Amino acid sequence: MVLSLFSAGYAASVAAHDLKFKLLFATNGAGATDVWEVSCLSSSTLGDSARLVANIKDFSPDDSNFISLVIYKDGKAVTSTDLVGGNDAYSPLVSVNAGNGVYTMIANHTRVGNQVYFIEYHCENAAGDHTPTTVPTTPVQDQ
Amino acid sequence: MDNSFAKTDADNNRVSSILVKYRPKLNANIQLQVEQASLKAVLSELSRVTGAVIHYSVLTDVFITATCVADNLKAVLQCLLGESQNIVYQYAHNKGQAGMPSEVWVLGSSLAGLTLQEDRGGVSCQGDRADLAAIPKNTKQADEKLVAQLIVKLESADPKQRADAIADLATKIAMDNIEVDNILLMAMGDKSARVREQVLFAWVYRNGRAAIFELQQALQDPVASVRLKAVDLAQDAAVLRLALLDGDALVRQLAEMKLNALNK
Repeated sequence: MVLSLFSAGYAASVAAHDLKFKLLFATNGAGATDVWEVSCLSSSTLGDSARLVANIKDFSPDDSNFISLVIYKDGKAVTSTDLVGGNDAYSPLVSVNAGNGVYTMIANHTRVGNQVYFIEYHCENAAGDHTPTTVPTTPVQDQ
Repeated sequence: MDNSFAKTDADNNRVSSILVKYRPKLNANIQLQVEQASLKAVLSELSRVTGAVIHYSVLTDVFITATCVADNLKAVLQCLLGESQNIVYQYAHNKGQAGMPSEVWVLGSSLAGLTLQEDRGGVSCQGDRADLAAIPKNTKQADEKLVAQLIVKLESADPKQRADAIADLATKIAMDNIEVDNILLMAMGDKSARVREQVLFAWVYRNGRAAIFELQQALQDPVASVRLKAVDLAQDAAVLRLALLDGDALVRQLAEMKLNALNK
């Protein structure tokens, strides 16, 4: 378990779709995994959602414990890993192109420890316009 | 009539904005844009601009961000509150349902646990039922069978098995199943911290912000990881402020960070 959970500074994100200060718990071991579900919807002016775009930030200053985000829908998946914990940078933006519907976002890490993460996400249409996106208040699996 | 304002919430230093556009003489649609505002303020503003008196009993205290555009108040309220919300409309005698309702009643207290989606696209929105939608609509018999299986699993000596059973109870059984609530309440006293953490998640998953009392209680747990879970799940400043007094530095740190984020 790390001695300190958090980096010293916290810069507020300007993105509206984000999950902040979420934890993977040491009690659930290195296999601790959180599962979130987000729906991408269609809009009468912007059309259908084409994809979900997201990335993850490791807020705990323990570089040996990498945190990753997996986006999954309809048999398609992609992974993004934050290789430096405790700074303000997110992992690379990744996306799954699977249209409207429910996308699953999975947060996991490589070692045992209480680890804080942030996720930024949004749905887009084919032109890159932000389409209606649901905002989950609780995960569907919380470890 | 157009209306627009931005204000700072006195308790949270939160910048809120509510914009309602409605031009009745042009028979134009109603445009509602809300940024980090309380539902009470949004309904009040909708009422003021449209002239319809909106009645309700209990409201969620969550701050919402939403965009709703529709050609009548009924559709805007459905967008804002969700289509399953039970709402009664009274229209002026001489206009039928084509005009603006004179009075609206949002029935029941289900607004207390409402969560809402954000719509950055600015066109349509619906109530966010993502959490509830994750629960398959089993028959009552199927639920009873699954609950019986999970109760057996809860008697396992392995805390992981018990924690998994709690997670399944939370997410796979209908929300109105009282037996699940009773099982969860009993499991709050489980000897394993891992199980108690999972019970907290389950309780918040099923009760939303109404779980504030259980979260406050969990802050009295002897194991720091359970108290940390309570802070992790907390969305209310009251719980987070209580956690600032915790004996564990990590619990205090997380509470302070989340409080700061709430106030930004």
